[in-house]
Amino acid sequence: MSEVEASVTRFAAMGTRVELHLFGRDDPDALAAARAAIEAVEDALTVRRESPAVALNRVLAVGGETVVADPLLWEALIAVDVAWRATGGLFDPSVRDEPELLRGLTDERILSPSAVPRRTPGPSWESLGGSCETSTTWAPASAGAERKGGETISHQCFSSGDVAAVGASSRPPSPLGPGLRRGTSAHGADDTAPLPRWSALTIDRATRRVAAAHPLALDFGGFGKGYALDRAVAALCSAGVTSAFLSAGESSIAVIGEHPLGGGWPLAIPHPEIDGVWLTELELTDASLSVSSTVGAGAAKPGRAAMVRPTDGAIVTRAATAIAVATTGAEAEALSTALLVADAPALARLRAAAPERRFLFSHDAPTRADRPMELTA
Amino acid sequence: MTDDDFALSRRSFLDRVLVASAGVGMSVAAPWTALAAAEPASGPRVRLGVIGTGDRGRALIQNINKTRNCTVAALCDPFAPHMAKARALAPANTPVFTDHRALLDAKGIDAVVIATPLDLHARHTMDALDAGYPVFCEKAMARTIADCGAMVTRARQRGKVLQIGHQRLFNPTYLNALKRAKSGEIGTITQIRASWHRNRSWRRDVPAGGQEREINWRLYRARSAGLMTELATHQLQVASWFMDGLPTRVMGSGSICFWKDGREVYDQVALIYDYSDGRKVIYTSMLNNARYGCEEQIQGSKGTIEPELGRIYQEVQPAAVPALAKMRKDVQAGRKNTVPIGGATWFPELPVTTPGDSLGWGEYDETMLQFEGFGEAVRSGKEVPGLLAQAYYASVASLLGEQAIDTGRALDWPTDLVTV
Repeated sequence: MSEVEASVTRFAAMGTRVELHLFGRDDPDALAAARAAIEAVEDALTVRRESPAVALNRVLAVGGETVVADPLLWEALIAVDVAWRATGGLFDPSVRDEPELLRGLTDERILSPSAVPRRTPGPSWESLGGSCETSTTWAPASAGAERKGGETISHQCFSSGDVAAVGASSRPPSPLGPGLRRGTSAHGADDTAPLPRWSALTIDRATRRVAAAHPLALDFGGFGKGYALDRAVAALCSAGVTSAFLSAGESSIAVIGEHPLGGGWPLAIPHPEIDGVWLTELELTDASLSVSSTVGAGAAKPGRAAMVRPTDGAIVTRAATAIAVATTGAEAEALSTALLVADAPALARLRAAAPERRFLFSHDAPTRADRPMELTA
Repeated sequence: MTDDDFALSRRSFLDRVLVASAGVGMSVAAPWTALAAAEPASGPRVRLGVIGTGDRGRALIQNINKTRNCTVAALCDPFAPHMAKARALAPANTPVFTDHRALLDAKGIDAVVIATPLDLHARHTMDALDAGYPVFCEKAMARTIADCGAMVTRARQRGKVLQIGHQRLFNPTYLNALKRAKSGEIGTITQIRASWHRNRSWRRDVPAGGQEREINWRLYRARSAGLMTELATHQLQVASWFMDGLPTRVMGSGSICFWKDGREVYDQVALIYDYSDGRKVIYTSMLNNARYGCEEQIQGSKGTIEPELGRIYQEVQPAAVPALAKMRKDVQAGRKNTVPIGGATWFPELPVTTPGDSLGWGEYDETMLQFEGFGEAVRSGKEVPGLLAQAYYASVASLLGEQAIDTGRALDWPTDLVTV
């Protein structure tokens, strides 16, 4: 292809910058459709302005019930419900202590959830049940410390055709009762935070009726980017695109097909704070990637709320970066969040289900050659 | 500057006003411009009696002197040092008075220009209208909302022209900005952030023979609402002009925060004016930091206009992700290299520092144009259309803002205003 830029579109959406790159063909209509798909998700799920999500939040904020008519919001709710169960409640976009959200509008977040079945139909994740490992530190699967423009912590190669089996349970792991719960943070800090309340939601799939047993609001956060990329991927695939690279804020990635020169798309995840150091290298084919971190530019963004572990209300303070690869962006986003907030046993379970595509890198340990980085992935 | 140079500059200025006022919707938004920019009719100059010859009064005299249809025919000020300076600017043998009633009774004028302290505007205007004279009064209109309305009512009763000085209404840069906003260039305007920040006390030295409350009248509540009437009025007029409507509610806070020198008016104010559909005008003024100066940031969904700086900015689309740009180049070159990405980055929401584009059209003292328009209005007996409404609502907005600050309450836009 001679004109590269003709197959690229860049725009701001979902509170971040989005880039869609097509290879092997120049198809403005396909790009336009993908962009429209992303913007439709934003329109449905944003809490920065009036939207179906804001309307739903108004009802949930008073513990009410309503029928969700918007198809994108409905899909998002279902996808979140699947993710919540699959992660043992560690991914939970509901909040109880956000006055602006409970009032129905906020100027800060963007949201969106939902699973769009992509190349492989999807969201039947397996439960987290099974053995409970207690170690929080593990060696990265096939980790190979190699240098390539910098220090690399690990190297992974896979395709997402095989769905990550994270465990299966028909219901979320921890019983979340109403009200505040006193919890203990990852570092032992005694935190008091209102527990999120996804468990307080009743979702009737037949009637599309959603009811809240307690006042709450939904803030889908970064999950929306993955969901939006899923919609864009679907649009591009429908248009016949066979090779594409999609980025939403660089921390949410989706690839279609193989790299234009063959094989997987080679990616490296940079250390969020140390230039020239890569946490891991991956090769993706028909897969989605999500990176979440408690450090770096994103975490330092003014007004960003603390990460809260939904299962016990503890505020997560450890410095870490979570990486998840999955079939869909929605899954990847939920998993990276879950990895970041998980306590030691849950983290071990999540990792064990797909060690080659789920990572947590701790940055609490010393770094650089004289203070070797401690790997937790 | 020679007379020819001035004439060329003036003509160029007027052409720009006309071009700016020719846009879609401009005949409604700025109906005065076409009339005001027309060449004045020939004939004797309109003779103006100027009441108040302080700093602002003398600035007005200098602008009157630039017009082609007006002349200063009488001066009035009880403070001799001011009068002495004003006489130097007026034609020789211009009659002078220390009492405004004497000026009104003396005849020899066609209209009155009022540049006295704010609390005197209403009385001087009423007296001049009652004496049968058209009036050009400096902004703000009056010390109270009631007096502002009374001035309008009296002008209507007497059938005389009343015009209030708001020079931005004639500024070609502002007119061009409004034209471009109305064409949709910056999208839907939902917020205007206006400020007038200075770093000086606003206190004048009291010369020998002067009295504190006469010289520094702006600092005393009985005479002025301070920042609200002397500065904010200008920008609140601009805000409603670009919002194409009036506020629905105002809330605010003020304090004497820095200049604790015995003044009675706030040296710092912050207000929010609500407009329909949730639109906002956010106004701040202060007297101990000039970094952000005087500006109105008119913010739409597609861009921003800053008329004081004369700039228009388009919303900035995100820059390309360098790693992905390199990936494309590598693919073109047949190279398959690792793409470093996924570093948990966010789209930075920092202030945009792009330079924007010039609104163009340079500097000119548009106050002159106001007087040429006023001169023609005096000759025809018909007000320049639209001006009084703009001024009235701007004064009401500023005084309502003062009330909101004083009471600590959000105040609805008054429903009992006079019809302009």
